[in-house]
Amino acid sequence: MAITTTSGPEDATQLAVRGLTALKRAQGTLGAGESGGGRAQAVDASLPVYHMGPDALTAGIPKPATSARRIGWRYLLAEGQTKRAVEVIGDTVSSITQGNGVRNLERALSVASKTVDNLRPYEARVLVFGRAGNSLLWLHADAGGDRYFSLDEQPQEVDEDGAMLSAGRKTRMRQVMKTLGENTGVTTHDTDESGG
Amino acid sequence: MRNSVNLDMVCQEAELWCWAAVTQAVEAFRGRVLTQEDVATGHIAHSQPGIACSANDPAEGAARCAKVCAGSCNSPHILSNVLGERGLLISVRQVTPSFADVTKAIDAQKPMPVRVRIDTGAGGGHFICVVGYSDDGQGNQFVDVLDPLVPGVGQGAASVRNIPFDTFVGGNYDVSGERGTPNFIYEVT
Repeated sequence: MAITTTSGPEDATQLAVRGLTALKRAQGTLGAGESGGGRAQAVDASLPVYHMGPDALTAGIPKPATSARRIGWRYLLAEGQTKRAVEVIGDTVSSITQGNGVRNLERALSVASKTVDNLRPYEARVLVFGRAGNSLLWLHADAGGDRYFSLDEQPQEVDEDGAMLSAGRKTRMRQVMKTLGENTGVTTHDTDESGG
Repeated sequence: MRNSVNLDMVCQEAELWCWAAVTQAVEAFRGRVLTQEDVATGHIAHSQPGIACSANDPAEGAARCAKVCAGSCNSPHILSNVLGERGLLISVRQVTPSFADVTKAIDAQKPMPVRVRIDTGAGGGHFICVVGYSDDGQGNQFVDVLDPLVPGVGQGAASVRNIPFDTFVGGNYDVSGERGTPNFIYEVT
């Protein structure tokens, strides 16, 4: 199989499962046999989440393979027909989601598996840019030739340089807005109430 | 205990339109169907009369004005101003919400828009909306959040995110790898 999803580290995996158990406790939906906090859910996939920050995005045309930093793991957990994405960032469960985001990731993995050849193994990753662009499915190959797919209803392959240039432009635009706001006294980091 | 409000949100349709998406959702909750372009035009026309906003307005200044200059529709704005102009705002407080703030709003069947101060990356702010909570009384507390950037810009219905409350208020609200802290909450009509 050309695309592999690595197993997340045991501590992060346990954290994800415990996070979902805690949610079900809070919602009063914990089933019989789950009260021990064990793995009642099947881990469908675990993808490392990599982040490209402003420093990397504004330095020419960066290469994720050398500039992105792993910040956590996204687990797809299935329970019957219900699928959830549990994201572990650092040592905390940052969110548990259902719906479009989960389906989009599954669609992108499916499209990618039909698109890439079987000649080299790719590791499936999630690449995020903060607010500088939508997340991507990143297929990383140690031998080079990384490929990227949009995470949306109709996933498409995305050009690496184009994605990096776009995210870099948006990052610079936000930096300019922040500087303008601070220089004109209109905004400060703590009391400013604007958002976008 | 668990409660929620029946509010749907459409992801923001332009890069800087979290305020428009949240306002659109609150309007829809009140039974008024608007596009985000309607919301943006309605707000920005106060300072730029005659403007007609489009979700395709690029945020980058050079790209924007290389075309027929569309003004500044795709830009950050102050949510209390936007909600206030529409008669949707009762009050705004600069505070990181307590769990009691959340339960009070949701039990009154009101969504609670929130500004998240982004503490990393380029900084600035991002608007989201709390639409529910759950609490087992044993320390497991979650808030249900609709974030107009989840799953992404222009990606249709926003997904509900269940966030551990201590993560939510502890500086670890995640926006695609940026972290933030809620620092304003809005009481809506």
